[in-house]
Amino acid sequence: MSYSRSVWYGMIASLVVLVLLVPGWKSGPAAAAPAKKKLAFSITVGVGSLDPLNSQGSSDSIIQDNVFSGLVRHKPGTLTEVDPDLAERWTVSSDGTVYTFFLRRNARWHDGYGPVTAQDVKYTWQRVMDPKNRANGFDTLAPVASVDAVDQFTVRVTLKERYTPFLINIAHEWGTFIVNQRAVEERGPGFALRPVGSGPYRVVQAESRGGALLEAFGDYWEGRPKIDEVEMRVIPEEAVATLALLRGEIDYEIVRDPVNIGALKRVEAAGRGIIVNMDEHFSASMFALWLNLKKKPLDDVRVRRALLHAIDRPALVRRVNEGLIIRVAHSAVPPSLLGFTENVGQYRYDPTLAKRMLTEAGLPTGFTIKALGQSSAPFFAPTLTIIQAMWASVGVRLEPEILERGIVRTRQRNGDYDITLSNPTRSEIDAFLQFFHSRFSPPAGTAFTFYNGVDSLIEQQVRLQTSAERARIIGEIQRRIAEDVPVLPLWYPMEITASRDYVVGHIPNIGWWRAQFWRMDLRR
Amino acid sequence: MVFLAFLVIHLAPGDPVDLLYDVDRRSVSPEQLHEIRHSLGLDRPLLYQFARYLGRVAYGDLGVSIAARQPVASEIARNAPSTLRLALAGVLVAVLIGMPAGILGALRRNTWIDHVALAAAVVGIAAPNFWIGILLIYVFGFLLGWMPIAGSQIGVADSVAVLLLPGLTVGAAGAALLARLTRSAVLEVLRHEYIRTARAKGLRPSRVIWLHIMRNAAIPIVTALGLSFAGLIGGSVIVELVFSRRGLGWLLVGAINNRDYTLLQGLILVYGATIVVINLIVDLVYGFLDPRVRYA
Repeated sequence: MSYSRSVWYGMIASLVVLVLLVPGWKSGPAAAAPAKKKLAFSITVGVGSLDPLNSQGSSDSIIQDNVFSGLVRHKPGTLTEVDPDLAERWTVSSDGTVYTFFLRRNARWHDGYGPVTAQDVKYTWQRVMDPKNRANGFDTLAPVASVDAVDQFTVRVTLKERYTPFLINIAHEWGTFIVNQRAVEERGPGFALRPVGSGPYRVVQAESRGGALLEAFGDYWEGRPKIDEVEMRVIPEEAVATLALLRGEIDYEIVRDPVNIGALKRVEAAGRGIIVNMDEHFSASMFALWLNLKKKPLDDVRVRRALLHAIDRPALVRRVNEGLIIRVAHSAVPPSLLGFTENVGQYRYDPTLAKRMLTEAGLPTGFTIKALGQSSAPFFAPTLTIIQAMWASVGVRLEPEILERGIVRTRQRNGDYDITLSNPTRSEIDAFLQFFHSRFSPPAGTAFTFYNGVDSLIEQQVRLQTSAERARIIGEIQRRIAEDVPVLPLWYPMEITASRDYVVGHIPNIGWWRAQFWRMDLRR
Repeated sequence: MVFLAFLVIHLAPGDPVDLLYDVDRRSVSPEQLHEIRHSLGLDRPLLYQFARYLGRVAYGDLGVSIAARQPVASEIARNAPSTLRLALAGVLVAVLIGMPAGILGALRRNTWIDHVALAAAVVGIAAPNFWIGILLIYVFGFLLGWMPIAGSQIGVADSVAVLLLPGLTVGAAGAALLARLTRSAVLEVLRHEYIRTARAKGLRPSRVIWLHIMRNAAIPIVTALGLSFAGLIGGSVIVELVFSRRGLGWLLVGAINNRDYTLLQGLILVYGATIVVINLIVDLVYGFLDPRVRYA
């Protein structure tokens, strides 16, 4: 009798000791000094390198957006117009090959490295253009012949030939963000975790594969940001990050899984302190089924059109995205890019018509086909499941292959798929059109379809002088693609973020993941 | 073992250089990829790569991580302490919960205490640890608000508060196992005459339990603890992701996803060496506990 009692006593004693040993079980979310405004945001992947030259993932790009500046930047909410950044104004020669940038005099480096000068710009871009560095932005600066520092605050960039998208390209590409020459030379490889930029925030601390802490830079040329500190926390499980947001442990979250987005939207609708930031008018992404035109029967355009008629896209979009308002895609080009038009052939849901087209193509009993997609994308599997059911009713048997990323990439590079799923994002139309130029077919690139129907149109529009002329040809390209159906466009995904309702000033994220914290404020 | 690991890793489809770039976001030319591959020596024959790796390891050079471009040794050293703390927390949980539960179960055999402990043990072993982890976060972090949800903040050290839920998650299976083992070991010892003698002598219950019962039951228990430590280290992989703890498990998952061969090989080496060392310690402790098995 007393034996088990003493065991109980022992257990209770240990528990009491444990409880006493836990000093701050959980301090409230805002235990810090009230004067400092601090925002914590979550992301699923940690810091790789904060040096624009070789940065890797979304964490790196978000931080760099806040820590560095380029010569120009996108006007908020668009991808096709630029605003001054480090360059307060610029001129372009009449033949379009010489750009002269006049830097603002009050742009300063972090950590006491002085004013931003033309020499820094020259150093940065030459570093990017050096093929040995295999830098990000190498392709963006490929049109550049030379960069010269005319004087301390004037930079002259000479292109090899006229290239109208040049300014838009450098507005977007992190690799071309300007770095401080002295800091790079002094810090060496350590620069990757302790960078020096001229942006609104400076890096206090960054952990490799981990989080980062940023603090507002008082001497930022546009004025000190309102939020004093920004902390990036790496939370690999999005469900856990969502719980943390709902509890107020973090203030801002980047969400990809429709299940979590749906849950957050319901909390928002109930007025319980959450805002889901999304706007279906802005997207530089297109999610589609990319058909391998080299595989039978996908080489027959009637079959491809039939497959598209056999998908009830509005229903699919609604179902997979848990009722979110997401734009169904008819054009293969996303809405935020130059030249986007909805004036293309549209394929309404018509399974009867689809069956008839398949019969005309000599496939009255349908056929079997496989679709390859990455398991890491949360909406690929649900999409294929629904399309599988829709196609079954017209006799097409779809076999989904949702596999791990490494395997999928290898098979994509080898062209080893019938259909593959992909939702590419590009901030610039030329980069996006690479997906439809046969020169970039696997293994050379990611033009998954092996389609060559718009090659000459794509080459033609690059050389045109004005955006209006280019837009006209790009519209033609979209119409041609809609006729030939090398892809089955589904919808335009958006970069969705969710925040506590006291976070204000958020602008829509288009293109790459960007969270421009200097535009935001906390209104408690 | 190293060679097998090397072989298996390289057999898996997937190219680390290709995976460095997210083609959904940016394009990269095959020439660039080829150059990088060449500079990393990844286009050489496998046997050559292995020989070169072995040679470097002999000098203590574990190479450079393909994805992070940092030395593998320093990455492992930086992340190991967190995993060690987690494993120790798991051991503590297993011991503090499992052992008493097992002893109680043995002493009160076939009573409700015994049955509850058995049922809990089954759940603890059968339930996947990430499920237990998320459940704990949901109940204690979200619903009750007692524990932090979002893991460690930058610059904030591990405390018992932060380690409690992950420790419970990692230790759950170990506790369950230990409970069952302790119960059997104690039952076995209870049969013996010397226990009856000790009780008859009028010794305090706690003294009988510790000095006589546990000293003799310890042998299988310690062996099991040592062996389960390996399982704890393995179980910590998923738990680290669920609780946002940066440790070896986190590194391992990243390395697998990125096909980061050098980092993977280094991690396997470290894990393997750890298990060997633990087993050695268990053997030595065994000898200390059981005089019949002293060496030399």
